[in-house]
Amino acid sequence: MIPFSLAQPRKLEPLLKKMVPLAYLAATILFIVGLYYALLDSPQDYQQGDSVRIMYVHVPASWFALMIYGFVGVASASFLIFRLPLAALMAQAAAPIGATYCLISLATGSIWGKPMWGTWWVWDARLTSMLVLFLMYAGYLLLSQSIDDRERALKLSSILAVLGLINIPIVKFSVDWWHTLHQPASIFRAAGPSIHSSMLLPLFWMASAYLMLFVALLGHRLQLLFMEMRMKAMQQKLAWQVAP
Amino acid sequence: MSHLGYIAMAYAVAILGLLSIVTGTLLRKRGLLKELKSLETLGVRPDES
Repeated sequence: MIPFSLAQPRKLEPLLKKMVPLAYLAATILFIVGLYYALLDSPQDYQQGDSVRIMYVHVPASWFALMIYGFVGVASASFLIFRLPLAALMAQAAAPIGATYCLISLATGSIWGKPMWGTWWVWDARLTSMLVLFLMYAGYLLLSQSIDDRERALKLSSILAVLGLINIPIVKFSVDWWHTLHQPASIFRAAGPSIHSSMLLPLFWMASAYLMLFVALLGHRLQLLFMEMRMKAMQQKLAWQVAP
Repeated sequence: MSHLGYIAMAYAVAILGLLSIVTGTLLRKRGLLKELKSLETLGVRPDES
């Protein structure tokens, strides 16, 4: 959790200035290592052949699409309950990143589905709940941008984000609750991961890369939101100066 | 299409998706910096409080 003193742009900005380039650099290195393991070092699957390599871009995107929505929902709830403006800003900064990860998950999943299932899309519980997650992200982003009254926009979009949290367990457990074409959980399960370590390692590298990119983008987008706030204050100042 | 074709397509989609959000963020920053600069040339100073 961010210390209270850092919940002010003036104190948080110097930290972000140092952290963002380092996080981008770390993400780039992690992606290079991850792509090497995913494309060149990891073995073929005995059933899927080389197509299993799609897992290394699809699975981390899906994990973080879900986790980032959890982050947006919890930050929005903190804004609504404790009136923490920084929490609302964090949710706003994170949502476009989560929406992008979600879109990548849907697109790469569809591309993986074609050679494995023989179809690009099925109205399966996991795929449909993931599409609903993307729609929740889209709804949140549209609502936060489409109302002129900033405070009202933040309040309404935060309420929508909190309501959307209901979908998180539905996405996670959809493969257990319903018979789906999508395979059941093979990593985060009570009995431990069911895939071999030679495939877990590239997945770990790629997941670390996606996470580090999220950290870099979150910091970067927070900087932009602070700049927007500063600019609006300056525009107001200018309007007061110009007004007769 | 061969399996390699699907792999190439999936990696291209993922990389383009990630690059698009990074590029979008950088372009937005550039736009904001320009707007801030033009406000400063009009004599408006950022509020330091």
